[in-house]
Amino acid sequence: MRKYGAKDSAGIRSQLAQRLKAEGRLRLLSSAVEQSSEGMAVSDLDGNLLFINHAFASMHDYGPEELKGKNLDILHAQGQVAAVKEANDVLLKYGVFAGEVWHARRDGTPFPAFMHNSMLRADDGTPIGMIATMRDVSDQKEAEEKLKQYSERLEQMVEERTRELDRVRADLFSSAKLAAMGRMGAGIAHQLNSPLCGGMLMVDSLMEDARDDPERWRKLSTLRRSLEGMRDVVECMLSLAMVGRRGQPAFLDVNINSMIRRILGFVSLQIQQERIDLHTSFDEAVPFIKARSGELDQIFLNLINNAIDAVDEGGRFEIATIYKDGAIQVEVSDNGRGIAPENLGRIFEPFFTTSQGRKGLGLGLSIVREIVENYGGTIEVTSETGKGSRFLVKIPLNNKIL
Amino acid sequence: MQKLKVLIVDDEQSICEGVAMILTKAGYLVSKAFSGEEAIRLVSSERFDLVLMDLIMPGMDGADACAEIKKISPETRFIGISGSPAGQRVERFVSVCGVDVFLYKPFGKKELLAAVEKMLS
Repeated sequence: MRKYGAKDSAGIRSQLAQRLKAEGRLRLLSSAVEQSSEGMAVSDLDGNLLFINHAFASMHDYGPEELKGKNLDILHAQGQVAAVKEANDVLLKYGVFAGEVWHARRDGTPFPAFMHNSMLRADDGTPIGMIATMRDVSDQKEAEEKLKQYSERLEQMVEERTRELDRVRADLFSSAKLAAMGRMGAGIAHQLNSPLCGGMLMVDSLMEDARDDPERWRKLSTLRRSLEGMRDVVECMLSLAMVGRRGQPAFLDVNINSMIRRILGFVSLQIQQERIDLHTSFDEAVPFIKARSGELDQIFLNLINNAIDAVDEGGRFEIATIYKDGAIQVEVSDNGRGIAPENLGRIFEPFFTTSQGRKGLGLGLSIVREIVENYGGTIEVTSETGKGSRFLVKIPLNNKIL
Repeated sequence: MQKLKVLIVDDEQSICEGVAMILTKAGYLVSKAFSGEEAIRLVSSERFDLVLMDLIMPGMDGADACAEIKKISPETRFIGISGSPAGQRVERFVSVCGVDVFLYKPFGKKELLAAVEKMLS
């Protein structure tokens, strides 16, 4: 019987130790794979699952044993056929695929998974299967989505603030511009007032002499009307300087209906001469409103004059008052020329005019807007070229001017 | 009946001319002055029932001229001529002359006659 020598037994011990060490390493590796938080799975070339670690299974709400032998397909979310095919094609071509594929949990809930797949090959290099590692990136996705929403909201806020700033800047600019022009206008107006007054007095006197000479009388009346036109411009310039200079003229209780009737009386001759079809509708429930003398008149005189100018002979022009929602609303509409779309945004700018020196300075609507806004009101305009325009003024009864 | 005498004071010549044309036709005796100083000189030698005084003129201020005229001729009445219904000059004219009748530039014949008739009635 052969006796083991000391040397032999040492060799066996060493082999055993090596074996134990190797087994230990395998066990260690195996439990490392099992316990990894990264999902891992091995499948054959057809996608049948051979090995699934705990993380992989639980990401899909399964136990590891339940999935063994099942096909990978059951783990893909609906509508992922194309994405999966593409991933497999990449894998076959390059031996590795990394990218996002939507998987589904047991109840069908889809979730985004970041996959890192590689080919499993035999010693001779033949592909025999696939190793997949995956991470559930729902949280990451959600965070990304939130970040995106947050940054969109931020962008939106920045945009809103920028718009607000632009508006404030434009307002400041336009009121500074208006104030400067107001001062200049007032200076010019005062200078013009005296010779204008002299002219009017002389024409009046000459007209008295020309009573029996119709031809001369007619010429002088034309001159008188031109002077009145100048007077209107001068008045306009003066009132522009007045606007915003608070607390000067006294406050009055104003009945808008009677005010408008008065203004219509003022222009009735023109309406008659041009055979304009005037329609009025007064809401008698319109209450008195506190206003400075000469301010609200400006609004309606301007709008009415504009409407008359806009319609051709025989045109139609409507004015209506309504008391609604605590505000007096006045609508002035006509079926005249209308305003070209490219001009619609500019009609409230000072000195903007399309009438080419025919009449006025282009200050009317800028003054109208200034007054309306001073009273905390709004003015809206809708217009269509060739069809007419409609202005809607709303002045709240409890306005901030008081 | 003796004609009432009116003095128009304005540095704008056309206003003086126009006022004179209209008031003369309406039966008044009209004189013209183109400054406050000239108006005082005229008032010193001649009595006027009514003075139409521009409030803003180069040289002597309208209200100051009225105050001087009032010293010379206390019964004379006044109408102020102004560009606007508000302001210090308007206030001063009212306190100097004790009247509150104004013609606002630019005015015409109707306004002129109405104001004059109001002051002289």
